[in-house]
Amino acid sequence: MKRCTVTEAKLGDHLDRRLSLEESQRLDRHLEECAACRGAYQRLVALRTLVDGLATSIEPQRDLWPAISARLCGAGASHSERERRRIRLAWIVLSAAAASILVALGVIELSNRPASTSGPAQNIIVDGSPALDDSLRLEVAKAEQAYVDAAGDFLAHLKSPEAALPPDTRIVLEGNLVIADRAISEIKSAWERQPSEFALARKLLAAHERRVELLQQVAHLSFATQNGG
Amino acid sequence: MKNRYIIFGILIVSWSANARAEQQVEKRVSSNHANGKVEIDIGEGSIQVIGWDKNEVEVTGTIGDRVERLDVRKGKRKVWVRAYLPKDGEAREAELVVYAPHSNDIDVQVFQGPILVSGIEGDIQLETFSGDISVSGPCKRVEAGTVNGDITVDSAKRSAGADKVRAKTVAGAIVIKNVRREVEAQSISGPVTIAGNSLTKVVAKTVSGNVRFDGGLSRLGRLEIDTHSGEFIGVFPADLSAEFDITSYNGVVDNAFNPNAGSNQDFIQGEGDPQAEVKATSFSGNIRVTKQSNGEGATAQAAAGQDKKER
Repeated sequence: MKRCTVTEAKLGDHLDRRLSLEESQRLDRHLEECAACRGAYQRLVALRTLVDGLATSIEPQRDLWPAISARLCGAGASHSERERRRIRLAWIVLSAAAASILVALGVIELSNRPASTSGPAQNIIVDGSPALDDSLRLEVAKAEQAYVDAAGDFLAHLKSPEAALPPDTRIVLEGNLVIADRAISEIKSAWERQPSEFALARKLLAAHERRVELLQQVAHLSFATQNGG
Repeated sequence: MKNRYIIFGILIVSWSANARAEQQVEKRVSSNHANGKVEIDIGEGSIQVIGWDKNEVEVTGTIGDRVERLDVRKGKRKVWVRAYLPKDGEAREAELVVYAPHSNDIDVQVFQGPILVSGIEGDIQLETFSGDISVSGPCKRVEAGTVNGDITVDSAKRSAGADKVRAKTVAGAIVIKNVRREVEAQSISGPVTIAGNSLTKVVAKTVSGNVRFDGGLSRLGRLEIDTHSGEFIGVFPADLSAEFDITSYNGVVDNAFNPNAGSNQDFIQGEGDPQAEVKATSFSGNIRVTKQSNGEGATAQAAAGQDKKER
């Protein structure tokens, strides 16, 4: 079986125009031939656009960015190191990270909401205005869609011949996707029954994140163990 | 009777074919750097890495007949051990024991098969699709990932314990013991068990897998557990000082530090400002928090006290 030798980091470098002209042209030719890399690259472009758009269209609170930055770049890294590492992030990492940004924004939104003092989860029930609730639901829906899109890309990759999953691994993956899907479905139903319980929205997005991370992990192992990391 | 002879004959033939398929290997290179790295990539098979005092890397074992060659090459800071495919081949098979300088970092990638590492003091990164991962001995940092396998990390032989362990599996069990600072464990359906004293950060996330934590947290330490339907059992020192934030939407919360307080608990345990933070959420899993017996608690507290002095 012919295996793709393009590294994950190279796609990120190509997007950031850090490759030489010769390397860029070679990679462009490869992208025309390799469907998996082309899909990954297109996704990377889309996600970069999404991330850039988020930074300008939604104004995060001042204390939000350090957490997002740490998530993207790893806590404790110096500023220049963060920058260097950021541009080398693989498409699969960016995929989950972009969704995480949406989640982070949603979580901040949730945490700023006023609390009532009744019910089993008394610190998270809100009595907020309908407009604010609608706005939040819209953000949650957008975040859900980002996760679904990211998961779809990973699934498409994992179903392709390039992924070459061992049969037992495929069975384990499918079984655990059912578990993850069931968790999402249960939380979603619970939130529909208790729409004012916004902590369930947080839980819902966390369940989506877990599902994407599952697929990301398998995709990463597929790449690493077949291409020597 | 005739059938028995036929079956026996088939077994003999397949055994000898198997015997022919494998070839013995024994390679050795000197390692230029005491703090270098050994990278191993073999495809299918098993890898055992053992740290030793010699400043060289030795590889012994067998490789399958579909392996074109096994390279053991030396760079400035690295030694590579790699099984090469013939151009049209699909599988690489090797069962190797690799002796490496104990101070080296280790990076192993196996497509399918178990990985065992012992006696290594550097950073360890291990990945396999399908196979168990086991690390023992005085490692510094461990990152381990598998889809269908168990992960066990126990750095008991080093007095300080590993600094940081990150373990990810999908369906396997995770067991992590004797870590000094940080543990991150993630599984979908497999159970997670973490034990250690004076940890600074513990994060465990599962969907249906159960989680058990047994130990103490350092000052400003943080424990964060998230499950969907998995149960969480936390066993803490009786004199724990921590801020608790525990919620199970559809499960039962039974907290020895705050009995009969319902399924959503947000309170401070201990006198004065809380020294640590315990956060556990589950959708439908039960959450049970208990106190260690006196002996266990004293040990955890002593370790936490030592940690405080170090700060």
